[in-house]
Amino acid sequence: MRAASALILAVMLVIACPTLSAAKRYDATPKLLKQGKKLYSQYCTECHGENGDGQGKSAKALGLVCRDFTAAVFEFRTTPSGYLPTDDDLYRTLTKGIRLSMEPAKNMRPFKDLSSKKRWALLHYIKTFSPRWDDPDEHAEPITIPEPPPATRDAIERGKELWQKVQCWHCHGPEGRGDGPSAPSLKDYDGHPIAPADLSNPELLQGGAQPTDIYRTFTTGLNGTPMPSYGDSLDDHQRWDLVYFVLTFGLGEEGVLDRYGQ
Amino acid sequence: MKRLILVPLMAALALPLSVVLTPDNAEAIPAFARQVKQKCTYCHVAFPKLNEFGITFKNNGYRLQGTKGTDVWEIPAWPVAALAEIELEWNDYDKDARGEDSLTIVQPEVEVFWGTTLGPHISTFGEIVVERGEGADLGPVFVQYNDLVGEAQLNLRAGAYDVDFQFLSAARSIIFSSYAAEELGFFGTAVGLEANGQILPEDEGLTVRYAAGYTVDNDAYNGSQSDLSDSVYGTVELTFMEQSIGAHYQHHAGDSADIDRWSIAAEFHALDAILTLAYFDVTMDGPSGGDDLDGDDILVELLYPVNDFVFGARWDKLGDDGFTGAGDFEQWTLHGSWYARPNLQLGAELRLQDFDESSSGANDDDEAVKGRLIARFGF
Repeated sequence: MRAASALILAVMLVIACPTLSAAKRYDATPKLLKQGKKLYSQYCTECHGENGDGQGKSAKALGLVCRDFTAAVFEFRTTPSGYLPTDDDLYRTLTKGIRLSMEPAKNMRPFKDLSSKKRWALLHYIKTFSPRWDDPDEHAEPITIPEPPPATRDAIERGKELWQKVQCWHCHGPEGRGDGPSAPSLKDYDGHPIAPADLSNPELLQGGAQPTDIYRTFTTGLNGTPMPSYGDSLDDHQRWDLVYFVLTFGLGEEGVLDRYGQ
Repeated sequence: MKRLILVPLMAALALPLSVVLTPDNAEAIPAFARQVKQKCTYCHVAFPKLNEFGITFKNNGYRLQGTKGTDVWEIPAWPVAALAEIELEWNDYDKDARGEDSLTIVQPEVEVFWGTTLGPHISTFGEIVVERGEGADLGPVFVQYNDLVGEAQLNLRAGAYDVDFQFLSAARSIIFSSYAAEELGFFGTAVGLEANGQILPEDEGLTVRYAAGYTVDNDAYNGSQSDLSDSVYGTVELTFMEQSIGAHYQHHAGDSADIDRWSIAAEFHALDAILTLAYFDVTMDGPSGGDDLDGDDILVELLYPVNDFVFGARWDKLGDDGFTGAGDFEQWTLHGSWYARPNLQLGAELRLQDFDESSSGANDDDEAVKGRLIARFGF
């Protein structure tokens, strides 16, 4: 009976401890960095390389272009174009992973199974690969993402006009399949060929497929890729209109209205 | 005669293969790592204990998340691996007025196993154990149809499989010594049908895993408990950011006696260490309407992986009120392993068993000490 009581207490602790620590942020202490190095070796080196240069063995074997942490150019951010991501941005990417391909071995796996402390340890260790993180001029305040307005037929129609006007089709193709006339010649900042997103498959939208995710991408752009920021050239309403039109490639107009309409 | 040829042949093949295939790159490690081109620590805390990602992979039918499964002939790496074990064992046994000392080289053992998708939605796992002098035995062998609901939220399994917790498994224990609860019939391999699944959170959140099944009486797998009747069982596990709890219940309905087993277990990950707590209880109807026969066990295990080493300690206290007839005992196990390579475990272990009172009424202070040196490698 005493053993059973102890186990019930243990159960309560198991539930309580991570819940209390879930939202906690961890600073980059030497001990945490040491833990981060160990975790990096365990989970990341095969793709990102021991030195963080994106030249891991599996990257080569699978023909992948993996993030070069020594360059510290990150696509998925809430910061304006050209700036480093926030810690929360990196934490979100670590938690959700990145869906690059329908072949699972080519994707970055989500680390949601690791404790938040371990994810913070990894995050801080990744930042040790580039001196950019030490330069205050490389950092900027994150943008604010407003509450999405409801999707309407008019918004989708306006988005369609913007799609033509801004020439999104030039890279993403008329049907959003990533097969526009410019697609074959696109390159990333390091000269590697890069494919535009296939908007008809929401599963492969690397920055996330929610309206707020796509709005964020339009606003900040994707650093190191040809995808520019429209934060200055399109106003807030126009970006939401474009978000809902882009979503129709994967969900259809009725699907967008069903899911995001009023 | 076949055995005489097979065992030395496998041993002769195993040693050079282990040298050739000991990984200096990601491809050269067992089956699953070869498939996903990652280190074995991607899925293992330390071989063979799985981490949460490895458990998810396993329960997903040996598939990474987000895939239906590949036809076996399209899998880029051969989905077969092997595990070899060589052991030097020292025993100082003093129980029931018997004193026995021995130093033995335990016969080498090779386990050949496979785990793969056979095609979209269908997975299989199997294991063949080859022991010198004992021949070949079948371990768990099953086929599983995945994704009846969602992605691996409801799967159907048929064959022989282990009935245990995902985070507390005898087959995937880093410490070599068996759990005392195995004396009470826990952690067994059963033949039957099972519905299982895992419900994973979108981002952070609670992972729920479950299994419910029906096992049949099968002498080949029940071993020492060959008189076990059919059973029904259910297991539920909850995991949140590496912390897990689980509960298990199994009921054997026999012609002469019913057996009820239940257990509850928890695993904490904190300060780089892993603490496992568990309680096991079994009750069998007494013979001819007499008193019930009971047994229970408390398990506390601490593992501390650091660099290429894992240190561990386990304490078991088994209470036997007639269920096994062997009497109560307490057991301490101290363990140290050096992973010379990720797939090569060199371990030393010391186990002390202290028998309180045996069913034969022997001395209160009977004890047994076992020391082991083990090399275990996978390729």
